[in-house]
Amino acid sequence: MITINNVSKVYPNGSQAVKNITLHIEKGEFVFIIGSSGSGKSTLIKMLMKELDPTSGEIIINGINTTKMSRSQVPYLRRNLGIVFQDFRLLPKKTVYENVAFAMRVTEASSRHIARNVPTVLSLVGLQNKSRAYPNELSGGEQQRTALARAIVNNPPILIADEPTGNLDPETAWDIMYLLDEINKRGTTVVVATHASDIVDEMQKRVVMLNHGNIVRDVERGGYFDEA
Amino acid sequence: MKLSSVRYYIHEGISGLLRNSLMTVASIATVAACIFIVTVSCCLIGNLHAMLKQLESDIGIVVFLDDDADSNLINKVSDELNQIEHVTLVTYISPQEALDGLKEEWDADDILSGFDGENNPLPHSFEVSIDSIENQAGILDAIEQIDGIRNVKNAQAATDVLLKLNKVVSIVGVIGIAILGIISVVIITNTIKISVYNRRTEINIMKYVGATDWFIRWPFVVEGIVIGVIGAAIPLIISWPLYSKCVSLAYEHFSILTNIASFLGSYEIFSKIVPLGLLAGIALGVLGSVTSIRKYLKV
Repeated sequence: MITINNVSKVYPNGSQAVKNITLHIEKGEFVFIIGSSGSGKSTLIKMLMKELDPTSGEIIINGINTTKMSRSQVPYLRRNLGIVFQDFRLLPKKTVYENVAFAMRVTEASSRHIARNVPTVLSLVGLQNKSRAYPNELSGGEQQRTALARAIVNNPPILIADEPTGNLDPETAWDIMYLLDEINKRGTTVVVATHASDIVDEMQKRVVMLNHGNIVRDVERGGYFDEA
Repeated sequence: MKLSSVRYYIHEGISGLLRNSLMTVASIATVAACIFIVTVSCCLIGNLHAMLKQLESDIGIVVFLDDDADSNLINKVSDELNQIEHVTLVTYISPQEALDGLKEEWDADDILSGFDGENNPLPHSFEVSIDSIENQAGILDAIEQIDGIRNVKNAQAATDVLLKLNKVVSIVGVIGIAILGIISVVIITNTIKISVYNRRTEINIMKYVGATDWFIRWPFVVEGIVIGVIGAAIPLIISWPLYSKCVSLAYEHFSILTNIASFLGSYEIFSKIVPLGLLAGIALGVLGSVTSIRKYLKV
């Protein structure tokens, strides 16, 4: 589903954020990418969603080499990727329903299709009663669940979450993780970059640990601080 | 492009305008101010041009025939004059008509009374009107070729002055409007840039959920069109009656003007300015919008 081949990233200021990483993620996997700040996980995530291009190496997502992709093709790549951010990134002047519907509108989905799918995903994330609320009327957890609903409404094969629980209290963080697990069980490949060691320990998923731009650990069912 | 998307673009564009109402008003005011200034300049230049043209056509060429000219020669010369290119009107002036003209002009019935009939020393003549003063030299050459002509008179000095004035007005007009146009684009682009800057996170989010560049652009294009149309309509609606009023005031207070030249009718001038102004407004709005969001699309 995701293949990262000998990927390096050197920023224009000379700092080498990712050093010759090779990683393969199968369809339907749930992968935690962990590491301290500055370990290169954000850079890696940004390269996955083609916000950044690797300096060398190639990234293949869903059979498509994204490093050779033209700029005009990027939107179509992103429609195959559900993306969730630490800071939610909701449109503040649109309601929960509109925020989720927006991701469908972008793909030029029909109004009928939108009217059918949006309520479904909203009830999946438990926001069926909040569809008319605006983001500033929601708690952090509710905002992140809205963002999750938006990420999965187009039924993408891959979901990428960059520190999805970073702005949430521990209890709410668990709600979001359970939801991610739920989404994974429905067949979506899930990649989560996180700092939340307790969650990683508890969930016993595949863990890829980065340090100074290198993969220092990759275990099938691991915790945050396991020995390599 | 699907119909539902078109509806979405229009809806988004208009609600974008309403949400950022302060920026919308600022953009519309900028477009309106620019179009107003250009409209006023067009009125001034258009009228100046029209007056010069009018003066040009008043400066005709007078062709005097030989003293012994008979009706055959008069007809022949008349035909030949009519065949010259760029000649718009040939009027025959008999000696008697010329004398009557003189009497009226000099207000001297008595002094000239002895020259009536057989004693009239004035020759047969033609007044020749031409389409444009630039063609005068060529026409004069052609007239010289005709047999039976004694003399050709034209106001060379006045012609030169008019030609120069016409050129100056054209150049100044074109340069002035071009400068105003460039200033307008710069101001409008900046105004719209601020409104786009306020919405950069929105654009950023659109990019992440997989919106194509044109999907993001279209609502801004709609905004640009609305700003352009309203921004052009306001100054046009104001300046049309304003122009009519100014013209009638000018005729009232400077009645001497009526003898020299008349102003262009307001319909005559605004039937040209209105479509051009609306087009310019739309072009300014759309150009401003599209260039302003370019930077934020590169995510």
